[in-house]
Parts: sequence; structure tokens; C-alpha cells
Amino acid sequence: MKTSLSRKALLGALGSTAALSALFAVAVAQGGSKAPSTPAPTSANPSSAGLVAVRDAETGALRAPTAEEAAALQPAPAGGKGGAKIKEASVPEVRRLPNGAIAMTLDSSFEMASVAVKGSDNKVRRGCMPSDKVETALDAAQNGGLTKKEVLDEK
Amino acid sequence: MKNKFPTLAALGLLASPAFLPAAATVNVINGDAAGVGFNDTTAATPVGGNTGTTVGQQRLIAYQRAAAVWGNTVTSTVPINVYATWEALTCTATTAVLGSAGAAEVFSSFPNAPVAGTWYCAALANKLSGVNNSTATLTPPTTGTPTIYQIRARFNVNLGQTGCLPGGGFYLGLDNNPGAGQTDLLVVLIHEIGHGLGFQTFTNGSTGAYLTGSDGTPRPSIWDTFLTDSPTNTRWTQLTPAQRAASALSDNLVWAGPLVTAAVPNVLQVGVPNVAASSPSLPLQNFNVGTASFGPAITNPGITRQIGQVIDGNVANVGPVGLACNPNDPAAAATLSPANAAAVNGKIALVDRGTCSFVIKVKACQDAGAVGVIVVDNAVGSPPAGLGGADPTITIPAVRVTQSDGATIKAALARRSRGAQANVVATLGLDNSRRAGADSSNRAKMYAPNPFQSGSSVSHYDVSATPNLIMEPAINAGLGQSVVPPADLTFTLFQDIGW
Repeated sequence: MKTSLSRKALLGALGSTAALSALFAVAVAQGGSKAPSTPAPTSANPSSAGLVAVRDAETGALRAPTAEEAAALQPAPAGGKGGAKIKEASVPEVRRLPNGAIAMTLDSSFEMASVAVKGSDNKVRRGCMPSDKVETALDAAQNGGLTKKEVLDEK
Repeated sequence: MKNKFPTLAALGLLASPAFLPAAATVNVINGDAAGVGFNDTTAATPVGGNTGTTVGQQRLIAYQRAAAVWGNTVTSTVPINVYATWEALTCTATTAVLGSAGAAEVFSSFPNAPVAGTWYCAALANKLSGVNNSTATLTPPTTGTPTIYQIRARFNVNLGQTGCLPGGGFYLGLDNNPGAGQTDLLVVLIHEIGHGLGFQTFTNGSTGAYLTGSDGTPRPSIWDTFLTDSPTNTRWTQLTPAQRAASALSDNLVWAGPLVTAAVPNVLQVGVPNVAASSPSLPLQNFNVGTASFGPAITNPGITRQIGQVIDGNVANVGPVGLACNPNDPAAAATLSPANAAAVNGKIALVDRGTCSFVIKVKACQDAGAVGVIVVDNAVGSPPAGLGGADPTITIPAVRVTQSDGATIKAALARRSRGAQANVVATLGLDNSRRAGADSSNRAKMYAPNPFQSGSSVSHYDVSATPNLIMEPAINAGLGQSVVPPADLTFTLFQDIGW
């Protein structure tokens, strides 16, 4: 039996318009219940979406992204079984608080998860990894791909 | 300090203020529905110092102890709320998600922020600014009262049940004495809540990209200001994203925080297992090794012998290999051919990984008279992992070297000439110039294996640390509950980042 990891739906993605692409904040569901997936906008690749702009955190003006910002805007490569599953980008909302602090709510993909795997030797090995990598790791373990390179291996 | 939420406590929301001479108040917010998780009224027998008489009570008491460990260690005038639930997380008969935890929010440029334009987890940002900046809110179903929290935690309510690692449930005792197959909940809680208190970077280790939100501004994590590429002595904040990503694969990533570096000699033991090999064609060279879960430990002065290579096959595009397996049944015990037995008798045997288990290979070499075994990895990657398995009849030490280092040794063997003095001689022992889990400058190594172990990498101490540390990626058996020296380096790292 395989039950589903309580996992937040994706949270958002990079959007683009005809000339300017801006970053959209999307709602971040909190809590343990499952939330329906939010469809990703049609284009998540700033390099193929025309001119890309970002809003400067200090001045509020739109400007061209720095190289680092552009790298951050790159969508994750296709992943999952068969390569058909696109990892959707997450763009948490940034808020400015009255005291000047800049705040961002994190979704569950930023949580670290502990996992356990029982090996063919009947020993249970435990390791820690990000929540959004857990299913891949466990699938690998079940398919015999859990090698001694895995963090689950005991010393 | 006193609980700042008396009204919540009166409502029963605050399940566990950290008592004793607390340096911070760490509350566990019971987010479970009636009859579930913390509210499970199934009778339970007190175990290992946990006095609860229901499953729910015992879970809560274990959480309370974990909260107390941190509450009695970190300091803050702002309470830290851990919103905790027990849920049906992913599991099968042989695998399970035990639980997860993490910061609910990150903050930058808050009042009194030590480093501007840098992400801090919520609990640390609140401590440093002296006010509660948090806005993340959830509503416990049993009270209906929205509650602000800084850390979110969820654990597997089905663990140990049919279809969910049966028989391998949580040990709810507080004495670090889990039964076979059980998971010590308290240790896992201390580890995962540690991440929620800031033991992690929010920077993407695979791409090196800083965490970027809807304002489009990438900001490093406070973590990144201490992560340092050891060979170049360069902080992560001084590297490009591509350089950071490369650094995360280097096995040369260290923590350059002054407090951790000062504490390393009090925590990590001297001596790193290694192979030192030389021959007329190979100047003395130290090779990193992974150690075995079977056989004797690597010690000093170690074993110095010629290397004898097992060759029992030929793989296309690879060349001669020595698997030391039973060719008829890889799961059965193996016996080396007379030629291979003669090659390894009285020597340190060199074999290749693959086909059969490590213990079968090592036992075959031992039976042929070898005094030690070096297993060459058959896949690219660094550092070399350990050798798993169990066989109490194995009495010789065994290690693994990387595929690349194995090729270097094999090349030297291929160049050797006749005569004992011309052979490759190796010492299987400890490199006493370093501490286990630190570089030569006593900077703690961070987990940076190749290939990248998503998330496990960078945000954990390296697995070479000895003794084992709470915040290694492998949650090892036998970990205690201390997060301070001389047992552990976790709180010291927290002090480096501002706690």
C-alpha cells in the first residue's frame, strides 16, 4: 500500500506577458491538508519568453535581471518518471513589513524530511532530505537503486 | 523565560512550553483533530521515561522533550511555536517518510539584522530583532483559534502499522533505547526541529541560485556566509551560482564559522581512515576511503602490506576486473581461484565492486589469506561511501575507494616489475593530520558529495564526522540528545549564525 505524502501543491510559477515578464506571487497554502495543484503558467522559461524584467526590491522599478537573478528564474529541468513531469517553479510572495523587514512564507518543499528504508538485510536505515525529494529517493530504494552512496546508508 | 501566550495555554493550544531554566520558550502547537495524533486515546504503557498512558500523550511528551532540548539551549525573548501534526505520510512495507519540519517563513533586512539582504529563518530573525515578525498562521481544529507559528512539523501517524514499515514504529521512550527496527522519535525530532531553527540554507544547492521571491531579488541565506570552498578558501557568497553548485559537489565544503572551528578539537576525534599507497611509479599518496559496517575498525598503526589484485573477469570498456564473487550464484559464498588466492595471500587484496555483496568479496579474500581488502567503486562519485552488510566471521578490515582512485592504484600495479621492492605497498590506517569530519584547518566539513544529494547536501554536517553528529544526513543509531560540545557541534553552529 502506498499512501500519499501530504504535500502542498505547487505554488506558483513565473509568468510572462508579451513584452515584459514579471514575477507573480501566488497563494501559499499552509496546513497539512492536500491542496489542489495550481496549474503552471504557460511559459516558465524567461529565456524563451522575450524580455524579462524584475522589480527592484529597493527602488520598486522594473529593470533587467542580473545574471544571478536570471539564473534564479530558470525553470527546473524536466524530471520524474519518463521525463514527462515538469517541475513547476515556486515563487513565494515577498512582503515588506512595517518595520522594514522583508518576509517570505515558505511552502513544504523547504521542509526537511526524515525517511526510513528497510534493506534486504532487514536493517532499517534513516536519512534526511528535502520533502520534495523524498518520493524520488524512496522510489529508487524500492527499485533496488538504493546504493551505498545514499545518505540512508549507515556508517 | 515565561510563556508569552497564557491565553493560548489556557485554551490548551500550547502543548509544551519548554520548562526548566529555559533560554527560549519552544511551544508545540497541537494541530491534530480529535482522536488523532496527539489526541489518540489508545492506551499505552509508559516506556523509557515517557510517563504518558495514551499513545497521544506519549507523542506529546516526546515532542516536549525535543522542545526542551532546544528551549534550554538557544536564547530568544520571542517564543518559538512549532505547529505539529500527525499525518498519513508516504510509506510502503519497506519505506516510509518518518516526518518533516522546517521554517515557516524567512526574513531579511529586519531590525538588528546582522547581515543585510540575507535570509534568516523566522525563529532566528525574531530572536535577533527582539520582536515577533511572524505572520504564518494555522488553526488547530480542536480550538478553532488561529495561531502564529515559526516552525511546521508533521510526522507519520501510520508508521509501524500494516503497509507502513510494519514493526518499525516510533520508539516513544526518552532514553535513546529503541528496539530493533524502531525509530527513536526524540532523536528525529531534535534533528528536524534543528532544521526549522536554521540548520539549512535556502539556496538551491543544485543550481547555486539564491532563494528568490516575487520581488525578483535573490538573497543569500545566512548559512551561505559561512559555507566555504576549502581549497580556494572562498565563501559561498563570493561565488557565482555555477561555482556554488560545483562547490556543493566537491567534498571540500567546510563551515568557516569561528565558533565551530574553535569547538572542533573538543568534539571530533583525531584520525581519518585512509589508504596511503606508494610504489616506484606512484609517489606516496593518500586516498580517502569509506569504511565497512563489518569487520574490525581502521586503527593506527594500521596494516602495511603489498597490494594483491584479484583478476577474475574482463569487462568491455573497463578491462580486467576482480569481483571475487561466486560465478554460479552471486548470493552464495565465493572462493578465489588458486591464482588469485596466491596473489592476495598475506597482502591487502584489491577487488572491484559489483555482482555480489561486499561481505562475500571480503570473506573470499580473507579465506584466501588476505589481511585487508580495498574495494574499488564501480561508479563515479566522491567521497567513497562505506561498505554495508554484516558478517561476524569477517576479521580483516575493508574499505572502499573511489573508482578514480582505484584506477590510479591499478595503473601503478600494472606498471610494477618483478620483485617485492617494486610492488605497490599500502598502509590501511588513520591519517592523524586531520580530525574525522574536519579539514586540516579544523573547519567542520559539510556534506558535499558527488553526485549531489539534493537537500541532504550542504545543509548537513559531513558523514565523516566521528563521533556521529545530530545533524548528519544519516540519522545514525546511537545518537544522544546533546546538541552542544563535547558531544555535538549543532548549537555551536547556531551561535555562528546568530543564535
